[in-house]
Amino acid sequence: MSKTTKLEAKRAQLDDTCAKALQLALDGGAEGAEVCADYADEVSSSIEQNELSAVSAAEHYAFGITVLREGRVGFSYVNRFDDASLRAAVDDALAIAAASGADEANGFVSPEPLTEVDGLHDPAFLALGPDDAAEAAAEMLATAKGVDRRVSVDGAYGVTATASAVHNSLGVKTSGIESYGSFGLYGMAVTDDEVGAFDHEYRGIREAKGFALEEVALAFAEKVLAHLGPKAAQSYKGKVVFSSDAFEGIFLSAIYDAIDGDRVLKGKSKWGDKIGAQVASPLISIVDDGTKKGGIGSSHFDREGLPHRRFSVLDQGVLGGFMYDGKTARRAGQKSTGHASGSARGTPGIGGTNIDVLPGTTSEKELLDMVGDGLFVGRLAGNVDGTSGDFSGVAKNSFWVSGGKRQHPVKETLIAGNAFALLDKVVAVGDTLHGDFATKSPWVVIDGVDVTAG
Amino acid sequence: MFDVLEGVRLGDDYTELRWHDRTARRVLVENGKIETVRSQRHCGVGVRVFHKGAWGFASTSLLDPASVQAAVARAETAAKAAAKVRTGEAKTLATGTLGQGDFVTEAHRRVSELPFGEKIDLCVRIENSLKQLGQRVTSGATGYTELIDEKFILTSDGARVHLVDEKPEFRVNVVSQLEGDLQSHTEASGHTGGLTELFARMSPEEMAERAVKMSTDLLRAGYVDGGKVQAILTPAVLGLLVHEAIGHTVEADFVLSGSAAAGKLGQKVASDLVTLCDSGHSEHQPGAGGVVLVDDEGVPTQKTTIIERGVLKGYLHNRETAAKFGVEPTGNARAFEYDDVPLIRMRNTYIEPGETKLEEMIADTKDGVLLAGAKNGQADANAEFMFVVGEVYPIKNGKLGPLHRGTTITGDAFEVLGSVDRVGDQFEWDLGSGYCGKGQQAKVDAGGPHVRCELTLAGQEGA
Repeated sequence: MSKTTKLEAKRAQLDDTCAKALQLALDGGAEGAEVCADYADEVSSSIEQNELSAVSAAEHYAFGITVLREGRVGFSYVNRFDDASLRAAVDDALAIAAASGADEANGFVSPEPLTEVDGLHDPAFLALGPDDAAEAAAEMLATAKGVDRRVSVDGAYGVTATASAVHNSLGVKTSGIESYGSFGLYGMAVTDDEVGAFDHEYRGIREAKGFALEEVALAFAEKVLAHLGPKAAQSYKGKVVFSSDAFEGIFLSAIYDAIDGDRVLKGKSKWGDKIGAQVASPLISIVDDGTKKGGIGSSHFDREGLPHRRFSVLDQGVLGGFMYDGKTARRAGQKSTGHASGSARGTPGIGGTNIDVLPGTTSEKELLDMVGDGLFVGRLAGNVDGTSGDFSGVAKNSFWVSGGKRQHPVKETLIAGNAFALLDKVVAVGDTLHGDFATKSPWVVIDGVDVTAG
Repeated sequence: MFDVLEGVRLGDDYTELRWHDRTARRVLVENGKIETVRSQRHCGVGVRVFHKGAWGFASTSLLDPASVQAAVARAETAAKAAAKVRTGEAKTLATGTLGQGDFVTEAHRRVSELPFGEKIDLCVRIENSLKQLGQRVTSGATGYTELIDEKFILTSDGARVHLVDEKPEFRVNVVSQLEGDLQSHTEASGHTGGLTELFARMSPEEMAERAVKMSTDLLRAGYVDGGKVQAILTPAVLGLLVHEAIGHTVEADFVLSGSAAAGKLGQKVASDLVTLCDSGHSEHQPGAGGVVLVDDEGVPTQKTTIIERGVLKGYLHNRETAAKFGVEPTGNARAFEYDDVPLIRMRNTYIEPGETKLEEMIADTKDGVLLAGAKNGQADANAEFMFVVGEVYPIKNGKLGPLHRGTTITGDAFEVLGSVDRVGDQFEWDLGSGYCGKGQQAKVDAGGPHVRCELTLAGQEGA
């Protein structure tokens, strides 16, 4: 049996198990039920303390059973599919439903036609085994150490093939297979008298030919060496250049909390009544698209078996809408936007897919020029309150900028502000996208940021 | 389960079999509605094989003898693949004392013996009270989680452990609103044991009252100025400091990667007033959230002194790093679930109490702050840390001022510990509802007394 055939067989096994568990739930007295199933076959390797440490090979099964009885919901997860285990999980879910409370929003989604999403499976991944994983890790390790012995390396390489299925009593019956790879290094540069700041270089790929092991190792080494010799920054309030990681960690985090339909309904969104309103600078446009070809955040269907779609979050600063799964959509009197997220281990949540902050027209050199003497923030190690938008934290992997250039790394430098207020103070958006997983963003210059030098 | 594990054929290499059956239950009630009620049974066997200095790992959720045997074969193949390309010095595993027998954590009454419905009712009752406790409350939530674990650990060199452990958590979150401004506050408790241990310090009703009061008070609170300050840390904030900023740097795997604690054994790294420990047991007070009686390599845990009166005395080890450093394993190898590889993790990390009363500490502070409400944090391998505190109280001329909004604090952890000039006489565990993340989760706790030190505060003028 070829490995793709084996994966297809696992998908069929999940479909059969979903159908069986669904029938068990209905026979047990449930008025409605949903069964979500995941299978994963993983081969991975890890680097620890500058040595290849381990190779792992594992198979995982997950079955999440949701039952509805008299308006009450119960959920149970189990990772085995024998009859006794499934029956016990169904009984557990029914018992939980009996002890739970009724909610008119409880229920399941009706089926919708699925969109064909390309580029989610590359059979070449399935040919990679433990020896490949060991050799890939060894290559990244040797390349990074070859740049400079001061580079301290940890890291990982992995190949995962998955099958998933969702069936419910309203007619949703869907399944699919996917595969992906992930690889990268993390660590710091260490000298006799200094431990540099931690950094990482990681990538997620949908095609096996994308294992750019040398490129990632070299980029990692360059990053961590650049953090040696940090100096104090200066305190000021004004313009800051946010890298794509920093923009994602602060602003996209706050934005995605604000457009979460569940948080909107619960009064936890600053933008609860702002659909169609200008909530950010016209320079900011953001698209969320779970159907993007080969996107790491793409999938054949969402956690409830509904199709993803292209979704405008912000169009030139104007709020496009809120994200809903089935339950929050029913509560809000809306349709699901295909943003039910999560795995078979739990009930659905709401989450983004592939997030693209659209590029602007300003070069990165011009962005650095704009701040004069100021801060380039690599990432925030801190807290972003998704309700109020307040954030504060240490500017990690960050540099002092002067004369249009990053002059030196900084240490113990704190930044603070309110993400929602600062989105109105965007000065310029870079013309180059960065990001190696599901989120892509340019650098962004924002005014009015508090910078405190330690 | 020992019969299945002991029936497996093992090769010549060191092999570790870990059967772990976890039931995790969770209730979440928000705004009068039961949002989540779920039960998760995650059960299987994790297998590690150590071959010529390299590890192979495999896991299976299928518990019949043939499936476990197949997992052993996969782990052996993986270990050989790793060993083939591995370079570096030869590795061995420290022997030390290995666990034998039954290990059961203490509880006044086990949560697994209580009906799930009682826990659902508790969450509903407390959540229903929130909006009655404060006019400005716009959103409220209560959550209850319990982890019920049973493990059988068998190693080819003699560990034979049966372990039972239960850890409940309860939290209350409140969001209050005033003129478009939203402020939230969470009260949380997490312990090893039963509900008696969980609510020993504060009842669920008291947690609700405090969450409402704090979220409401924060609406009118201002921001503090940034800069270097003299700060009194509450046990929770101190716990975050010793866990994030010191604890991670003394995990021996990080030490070997070059953390700030590398090469400093025997050196003065903190004030004479500081003695810092990590223990698998609940020192000073019962029910700490990170109690681990035997680690996942079958090593019975102990209290490990990391810093003694300011001098760095030891690191946290698994069997591999213990052999490298020539010391006994400290019982810090932990895996969150059966399909996780054991890593060096903290358990209950704390500073030993001193002699100063909190009132004396405040009265003795001319210009400083008291920091409370530990939220989250992280630290770099160079000991530069940042974490978020939810409550800041300025101190002027020995008087405690009004509540200010939370902020981020930062500094070099060893410099901060070097600046400690007062250590309180009261001890508290206060981080038991938290999870430590290091590629996988771990239940940990941390705490200590109040301490006074110097660190840097982020300032903000407001939006």
